[in-house]
Amino acid sequence: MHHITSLIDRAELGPAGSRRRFAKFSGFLCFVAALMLAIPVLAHHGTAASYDADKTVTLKGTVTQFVWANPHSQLHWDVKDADGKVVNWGGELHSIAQLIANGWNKNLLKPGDEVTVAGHPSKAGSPYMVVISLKTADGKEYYRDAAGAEKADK
Amino acid sequence: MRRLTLLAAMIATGAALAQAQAPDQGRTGGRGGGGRGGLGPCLNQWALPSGCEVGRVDPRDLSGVWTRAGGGAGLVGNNATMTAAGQAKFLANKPSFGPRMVPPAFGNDPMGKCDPIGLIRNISLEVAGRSFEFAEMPDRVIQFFEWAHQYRTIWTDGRAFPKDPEPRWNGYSVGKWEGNTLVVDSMGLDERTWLDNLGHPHTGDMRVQERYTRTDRNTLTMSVTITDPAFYPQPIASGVTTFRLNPEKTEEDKLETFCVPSEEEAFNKGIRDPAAGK
Repeated sequence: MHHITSLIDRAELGPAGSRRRFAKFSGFLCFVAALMLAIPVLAHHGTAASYDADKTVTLKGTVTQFVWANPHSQLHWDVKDADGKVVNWGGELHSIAQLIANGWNKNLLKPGDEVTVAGHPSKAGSPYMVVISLKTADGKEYYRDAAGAEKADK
Repeated sequence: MRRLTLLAAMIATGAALAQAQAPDQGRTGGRGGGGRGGLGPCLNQWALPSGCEVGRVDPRDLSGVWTRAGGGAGLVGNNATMTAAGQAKFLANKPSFGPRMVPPAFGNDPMGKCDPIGLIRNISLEVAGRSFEFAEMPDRVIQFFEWAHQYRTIWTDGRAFPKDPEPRWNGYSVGKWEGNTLVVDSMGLDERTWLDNLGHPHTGDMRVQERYTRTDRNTLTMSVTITDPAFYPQPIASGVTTFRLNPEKTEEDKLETFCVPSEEEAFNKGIRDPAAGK
């Protein structure tokens, strides 16, 4: 931590060389943080095998089904593409206890609700994803893992 | 008279303080009690009363909810040496973790259908973020596992293993104290379970020894030795797994996580299988 503080101080106050070093170091920190934050998603049963952690897609649509269940909940929503074609997407969610711990509840979604969902897509190319985050029509965001461990905009 | 009153008040105050701070030899039972260590209200209190020092704890009281904080979820690792029979069974197991992972839709991890995951995967708290709780009784220790809401009994009354027992998912366990370490031996384990999410198998003749040591108020360590010569020529000695006391889960009663077969089946059909292109 002392080194990090020192680098930050130098980046703010020091010469250009220090700023470059800080920029590199910041990038490294972000990389490490990204790896650490990705662990909760990838560590789940089969998640790394089924979904492509290197890709993130964000899709806006309308909820068709929200299944509140153990040990996995489900979200299904209709997404309309540029040509007006509607595709029903499916999203893998955590268990009830984990979702509650992350601020979700069983009445959070109902068919017809507008949502924006981000996640890692299926490796098989089918319209499924492991959900990372969800934004409801009122602008509130909900995350798969605690404290928004992996956010959609990464 | 005033002096006597003052003296009486001082004695009463001193006695009260002594009662609050001194070991409570007679108190038993309950999470806040603790008959063995004599630490009374200071023992395992999630919100410690004033006068209690953090760290004062009876090392033989393992009561509480514990969450894995260090050490891997898998106790076997990636490099276990197997016999030919063990290797054949290992290859028949299709895990959804590690170097041989396949999507759960094409795997056969018992967890994928909410089958019991067995003793080894339970005690290692393999399922991310889950906990277990120890509850001690005079003749046994109950270990409750958050995942799938199940428990096992560790008999500490000196009994022997049953002879030729019917295999059980969590086996049969007896425990004894060696110093401040609870040593638990288990047998009679159903061979359908895996040792980890990598698909390591075991036979019904496997023996397991767990050693639990509470190193301070908030820390519990566990090391495990697995002996199963038909599949592993040498006993497997795990590293040390560290658990932290989890007062939040204890106080707020957050331990219910069933694995519901019908709901998991619906999930497999609705998400898991089509996500894998099945």
